[in-house]
Parts: sequence; C-alpha cells; structure tokens
Amino acid sequence: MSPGGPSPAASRRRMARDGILGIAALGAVALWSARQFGQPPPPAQQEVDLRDLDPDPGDVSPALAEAVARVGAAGGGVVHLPPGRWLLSRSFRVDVPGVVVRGAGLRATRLALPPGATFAAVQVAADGVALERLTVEGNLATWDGGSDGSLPAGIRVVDSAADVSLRDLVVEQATGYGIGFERGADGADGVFDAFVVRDVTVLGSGSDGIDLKNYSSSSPACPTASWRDEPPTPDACNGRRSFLRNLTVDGHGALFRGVARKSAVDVRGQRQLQAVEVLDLAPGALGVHFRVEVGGAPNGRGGLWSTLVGCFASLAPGGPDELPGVPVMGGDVVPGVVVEAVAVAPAGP
Amino acid sequence: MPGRRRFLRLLAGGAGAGVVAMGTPAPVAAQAPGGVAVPDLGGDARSALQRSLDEVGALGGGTVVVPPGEHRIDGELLVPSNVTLAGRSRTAARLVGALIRHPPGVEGATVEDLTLEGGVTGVLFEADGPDAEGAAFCIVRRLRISGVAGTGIRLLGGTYRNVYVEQVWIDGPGRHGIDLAADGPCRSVFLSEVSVERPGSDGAPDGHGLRLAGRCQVTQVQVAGIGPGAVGIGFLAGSDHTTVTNLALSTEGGVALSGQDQLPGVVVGPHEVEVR
Repeated sequence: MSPGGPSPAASRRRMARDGILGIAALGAVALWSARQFGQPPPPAQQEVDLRDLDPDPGDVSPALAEAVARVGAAGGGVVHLPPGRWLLSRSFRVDVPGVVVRGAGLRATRLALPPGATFAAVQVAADGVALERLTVEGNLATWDGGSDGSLPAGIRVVDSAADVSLRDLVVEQATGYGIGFERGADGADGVFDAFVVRDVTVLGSGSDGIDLKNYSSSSPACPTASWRDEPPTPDACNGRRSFLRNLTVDGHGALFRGVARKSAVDVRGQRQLQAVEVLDLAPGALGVHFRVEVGGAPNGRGGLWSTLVGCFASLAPGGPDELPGVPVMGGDVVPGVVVEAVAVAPAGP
Repeated sequence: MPGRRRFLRLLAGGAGAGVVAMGTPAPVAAQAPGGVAVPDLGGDARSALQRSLDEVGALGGGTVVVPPGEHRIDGELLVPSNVTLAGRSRTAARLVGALIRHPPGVEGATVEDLTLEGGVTGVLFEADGPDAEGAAFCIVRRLRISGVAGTGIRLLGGTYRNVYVEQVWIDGPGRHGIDLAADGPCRSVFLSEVSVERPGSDGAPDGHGLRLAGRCQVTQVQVAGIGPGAVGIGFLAGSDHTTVTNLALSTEGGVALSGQDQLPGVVVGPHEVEVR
C-alpha cells in the first residue's frame, strides 16, 4: 500500500469485495427465505459418503459443498469420495475446520477441472483440513490462455490455514501451481504453519510445482523488506513446523519455458524437506529453490533455516543455447539452509 | 427404496468403499466406515478376502479391511489396481502364510497396517517383461513382516514409478528384506522408515537388508544383525543416483554397504556402522 493512500489495485480489490458482499447479502436473504419455507439446515454428520448425495459425475461441485457443510455442522469429520472421475463446476472449497477429504485410492478418485476453467480445483481455507488418497486433474492439456490472466492451480491452500495435511495425492496437468500455499484472494495473510505434505506427486504443471509463500501484512511487526536489511523474521510472521517428504515434481513450468525460471518447490518460510525428486527439469528451470529475496507482497520472506535431505534431479535435454536447469538454488547463500545428499542425472542423449 | 438401499450399503461396508454388486455373494455383514470390512473369514480366509478384493476392484477402487486376529492364508492374495488391503493397525490383523501379490503393471494399489507371518515372499510386484511397467502409484505401509523364507518385499523385473514403501519392519527374512530387482530406470521409488533385522537368516549367502537394482531414495533406514555372507545395503546395476540418508547399520560378521562406489551418482549420507 502506498503512503498516499490505497493503491489502485487495493481500491479495485475493495470494490470487488464490496460487490461480492452485496451478492452475498442477497444470497443470505434467499437462504433465509428458503428456510422460512421449511428447508432444513444441513444435517450434522461426522462421516459423509458422497454417494449418499447423488453426485453428478458431470458436476460434482454441489454434492461436495453439501458434504462439507454436513461435516462442518458436526464440527469436523470425514468426507469419503467414491472412485471415479468427477468434474468440477467451481472450486471444491474446504473452508470449515477439521474436515478430512478421503478418496477411495490415489488413482481411483479423480477430481477434474473442465477445459477453460480458471479456478483452482481444490481450495483449502480452514485449519486442520486433510486431503488424502485422490488425484486432482487440471486443464493444462487444453489450456489456450485464460481471459483474466489467472492460471488455475491444482490445490490452493489460502488464508494462513494451519495444521493442513496433504497426503497420498497426485496433482496432474495443473495449469498454474500444482500446489500453492498462497495468500487469499481478498489479500488475507499467507503464513503457513504446521503442515505436512507427504507422498505427493505433481505430474506436469504450467507454473511452479509446489509454491510456498510466507507473507503477512496484518501485523506491523512483520518486516516486509529484505532479510539483509532487517532483523530475523519474528515467529508470528514466519511459517514453520512444516514437513514435506517423498515428493515428486515431474515436468513443471511448462507455460514458462524460456520466459521465467519456475521452481519445482519454491521455499519460503522455514521448511524441512526430505526425499524430493525433480524429474525432467527443463533448461533454465529451478528445482528446490530456497528464496533469498525481499519480503514484499505477495510472496513474503525467504526460506531461511530450511533443510533438504535427499534429492534426486534429472535434467531434460535442451538446445545448444539454453542454460541447464538448476537442481538446488540458493542452498549455499540463504542463511541457515542445510542441503545434504543431492544426486543429479545429466540429460540423456 | 431406502430400506433396500441401506441394506446394500450395509453389505458393502458403507462410506468410502465400492458397493458390492447385486447378485454376487456378499462376504460382508457389518458397516465399517472407510472400507469393506470382512468380519468373519470363516474356514477359508483366503477365499473370503480375495472375493472382497475382486469386488472392490471391479467397482473402481476402495478399501478391504481385514478384521483383527490371526488368519491363515497359506496362499496368494491378489490386490488389483486401485484397491487398498488394510488392517486396523500394524499388529491387529496377522496374516499367516500369505503372499500378497499384485498383477503386473498394477496402478494405485495399497497394502497397509498388517502383520505378515511366514510364507516365502511377503509382498510381490512384478512386470510382464523387462521393458514393461511393474507398478505405479502403489503404497506399502506400516507392515511387520516376520519369518518369511524368502524376501519381505520384492519388486521383480520391469520398471517402477511412484512406489512408496514406508514404516515397514522386516524380521529375519531368509533372503532379502526388500529386493528392488528392477530391469529399467525407476522414477520416484521411495523407501523410508524401514528396518530389516537379520537378513539372510536361512544361512544362504547373499542375503541383503536392501538389495537395490533400481534408482530410489532411501531415508531413515536401519539394518541390523548383518551376519557372515550378508549385506546391509547392496547397490547393483541400475541403482545409480540413489540417495541414502539417515542410515543406521549394525554388522555381525557381514558387510554393511556394497557396490556404492562402482555406480555413478550414488550418495550415501553420513552414517556409522556398529560392529558386534
């Protein structure tokens, strides 16, 4: 935000938000009217089997929203997703705390974005949410450029959601990030604490494989300038207690080759990574990238005091004028970062 | 007809599982959130479990839950693609004399939370040929495997990608703890939190804790009781660019590590070898 007042972008955001609030108010009235005519609130259920909600394979979004509402009304629980490929008409937004979304198997249950969709397939926007045993399919294969410039992620974690667990997942063909821990659309903070990402594969993505942001604007104590110029990031402004293990990022940054250096894992905040594979690392692209730069919006401060133990990278072949990919970036210059046991296979003939 | 539907759901085990098709003999009689439970395996546990595995597989995937207790299998259980075979905890259900096999090229199968006792091989993956895929996106997790005459977990021939073997204890295998006997380049095979004690316990030479003929990433591994003729971790052709970290080895006359210096790109992190 500029010293002279809200930036044009902030004003636009506020206008958009006010518009959304207006629509939301209309929606609330409609909901209230419906209730007056006898529509009950969602029943509280600790376990919901999506099949009980007659999901439509061509548009599973209403059934997913109802399932989350029911488990949310119970204060948390499990939503079981059946096997099959299910198309989304809007983001599957898990925005009540303590919800576990469990598929029938990491290749058995598939949530898929239709061609042209510009929203993230799954959004996690509450504490204590777990996603397990499923595949998320993006629309990179049919992407022909979004109208509003946004690249839909496979899974977005927003609003500083804590205690998030992502396990036994495959995210394939995401147009934007495979998985992004990001700020919310309304500019809410993106400081991510106490999460686990384990046994997760990102198979082809337009942008970064896994992007970890670490930005807080809500607290004046949080420095926004470079770590070179200011004291260490206070704990409240830094995502910590984050463990990532047995990760594969296979062919990321497809939309940025030769344009920007996209990362397989973009590390901000203090993270501990073990056993990471970066496969077919494109010329000019980056593998595990420990960020050094300034802490400005929307990304936040760097990956100080992070660790990477066990990493394999294979380089994709490139043209004679192309720089090779860099398997690990910043490990030797970012304070406190430890990198151990990295194996790199050169590009094949 | 809600009554009938509920009955069928009860048969199928409820949330998270495939629904048992009408007209097939249903081996299931109790609701079990998260999977098909097989509460009474009767006199032929192998047939009852296999029928459930096949039914869930035919429906596109789901979980077959093995009830607590000791179950004599004395034969093969074939876990098809997209099916999970699971107990309630690592020690609650014990399968005796079971070979848990996967069809060649299986995708998305999981075996977890079980104890396997006796038999020759605990868990087997295989491929149709040297260039074929052995398995993809498969998980073997939270197992105790004891007293197998051959190898605890065997990935035989072909290539493997995205296979996770984790939190597995293997006690006294006759030959190897884990044998990654791949024929081609593997992608994303992860072995983590694995313990093998007394590999090669049948006295034949060449027992390995981990026998690696494919590239993988190994973290938090302990191999102990490595006796004469046995090897803790052996690196064979194909395991170039393997990384091993957080390693604990204890020998009793055997060799801790072998072959790592003959292959390009193998990285073995700092470790100590206890000699007993």
